[in-house]
Amino acid sequence: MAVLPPDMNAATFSQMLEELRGAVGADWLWSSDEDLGPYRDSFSPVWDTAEERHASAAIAPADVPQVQAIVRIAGKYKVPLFPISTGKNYGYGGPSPNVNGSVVLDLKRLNQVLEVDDKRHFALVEPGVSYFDLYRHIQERGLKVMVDCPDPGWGSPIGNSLERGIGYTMPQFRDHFGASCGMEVVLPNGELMRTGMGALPGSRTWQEYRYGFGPDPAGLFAQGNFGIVTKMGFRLMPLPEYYRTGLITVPRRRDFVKLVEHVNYLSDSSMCGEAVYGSPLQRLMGDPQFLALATKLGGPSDADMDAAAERAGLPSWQVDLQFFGPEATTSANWDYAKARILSDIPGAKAIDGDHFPLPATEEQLLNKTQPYQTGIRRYGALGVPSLGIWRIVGDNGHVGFFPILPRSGEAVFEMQRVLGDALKEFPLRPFFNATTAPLYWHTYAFQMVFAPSVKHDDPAHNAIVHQAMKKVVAVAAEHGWGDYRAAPIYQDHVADTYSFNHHALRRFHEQLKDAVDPDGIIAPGRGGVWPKRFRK
Amino acid sequence: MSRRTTTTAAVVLVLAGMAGVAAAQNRQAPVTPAVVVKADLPGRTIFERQCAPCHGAGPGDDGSPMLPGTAALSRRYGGEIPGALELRDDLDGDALRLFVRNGIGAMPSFRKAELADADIDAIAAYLKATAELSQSR
Repeated sequence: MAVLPPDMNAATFSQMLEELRGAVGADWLWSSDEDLGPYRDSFSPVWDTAEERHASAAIAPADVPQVQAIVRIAGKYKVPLFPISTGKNYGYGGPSPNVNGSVVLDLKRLNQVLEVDDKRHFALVEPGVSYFDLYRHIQERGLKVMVDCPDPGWGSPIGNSLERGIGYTMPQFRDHFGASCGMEVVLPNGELMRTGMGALPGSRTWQEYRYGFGPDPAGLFAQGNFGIVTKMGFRLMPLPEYYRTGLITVPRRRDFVKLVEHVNYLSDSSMCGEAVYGSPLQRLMGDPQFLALATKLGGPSDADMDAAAERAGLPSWQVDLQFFGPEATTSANWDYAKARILSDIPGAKAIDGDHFPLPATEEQLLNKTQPYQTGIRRYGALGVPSLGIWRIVGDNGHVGFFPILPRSGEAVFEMQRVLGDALKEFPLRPFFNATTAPLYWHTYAFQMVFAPSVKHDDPAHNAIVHQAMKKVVAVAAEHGWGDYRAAPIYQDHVADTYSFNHHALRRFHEQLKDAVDPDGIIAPGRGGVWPKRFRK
Repeated sequence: MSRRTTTTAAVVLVLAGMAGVAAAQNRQAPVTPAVVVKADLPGRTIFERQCAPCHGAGPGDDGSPMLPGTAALSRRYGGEIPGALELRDDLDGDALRLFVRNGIGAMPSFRKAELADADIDAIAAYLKATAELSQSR
């Protein structure tokens, strides 16, 4: 036995396990150390320390009635359940729970793609369906829709969207929770609820009209703990006829401000897909002199950065643009983008990139024919699930902090400087420096990334990472930048920063939690929301 | 409370930055892909769905010569043992289970809910048969 649930002795735990076995069968309940090993967060910076969170058991139901039965047994014993979909939330806690001794509710066996409609462009899936599964379902049937999948693609549409994960295609599909439509939820009392049009018996628009009538509680189930989502709908992009890319470079550091404004216009007008920003000056980071400049306390001057760029013969910034649609439309949108940006930014240059009809050939998917160095990950850009991104995972993984910042060049410069300075005391790679580009994943906001690696055999390194994570959350918040998603060990830290009006939002969430789940049966602490039973 | 530690040695992967990684790897020298003759066994589908996206013998994304797991094992063995699992005839079910259930390096462990012990045995049988077919080709 690993750990016991809160407020429970071993005898009662055994009794509860017997009841749970009765609900799902002996093969689908695990409580040995060996079987619970894979429910640890292997990317945890508190690996093998007292702060690591452990499950007491894991259970894998086969269907929704079994989920309901488990929730009712958990309610009887007042045991926290921690639901996971495919359990691949690495960098944000993996499959490990918020509360020690929780029973992980492993939904992997609920793995049916229930519907894909390529005329009305939606899918309805269960939580154990991975992006690979959904993609394969679509390909095997020749359906004309494109999935917007995260990197890597072994996670599930439901799990990823409930974490507010992202993808890489057109703006309205990249925000995966934003692109969801309709859910089925097992509530903390075991009752089954459907949101939106799903609440209307006989409705055939559950995956088309999100709201139904009256308040829409769907948002409570993302990064929340008010129920267990057992079905969820997603909007899908019609398979575009054509895909086109192009690269814009600008010479000076300050040109980034205008470049971002132009790309915001293109994106908000639905003219382009994910814009992938980068700085060609990153390739100078191996030069100690340039490294010192780019990481200078207080930030380098524009003049010094421009001089370095000129000496190296490199532009200061670039953006990879991507266009989806009919061939003529992609061509016109790229021509418009070039004309708009090049006429406004002196010295800006444009290079035509790959373009081809969809679906892509295997060669095109491998991204080998781009006439310039591109930051685009082709699989993700075309909605094809992959694990190729794992090549950037070092040591035993990493933990992630992805602060949200405004879509402006000035905001990017400020975050580079403030968080770069704040993290200087830690012997870690300089994630924030004068060449750090923003990520344009979410539809209407930028993010930047701090993702230091963890090492199971180096607790001193992990302690540094842990300390740096807590500091960067706090410093970012002082400047109005909040994290979008966090591992259980950081969720309280992050939630603490969303403190407007004496934590009115948290107090509201707590009132709701106390009303629908006073004993904390569903993931107490998730999203920083604790029921009264667990509040200190 | 007993907290198991992974007993297997760590595979050290190349740590690259999050941004611009694709660009950095886009110009790597091409590698001649290994020839794999796939055995027609039940483990093939399981391997292709659960393992091949990282451990397949084909090229990686965006110009990478190998998929990440295959690249990691190639670095680890320095050419003495194939990096592609489908060319390995020395991995029985127990050996695979050790890595699958414990993880190694950057590879997380896999749960019984997603990969049953019987699946791992089926994968082992497929790998052995595929390696033998590929060697005799």
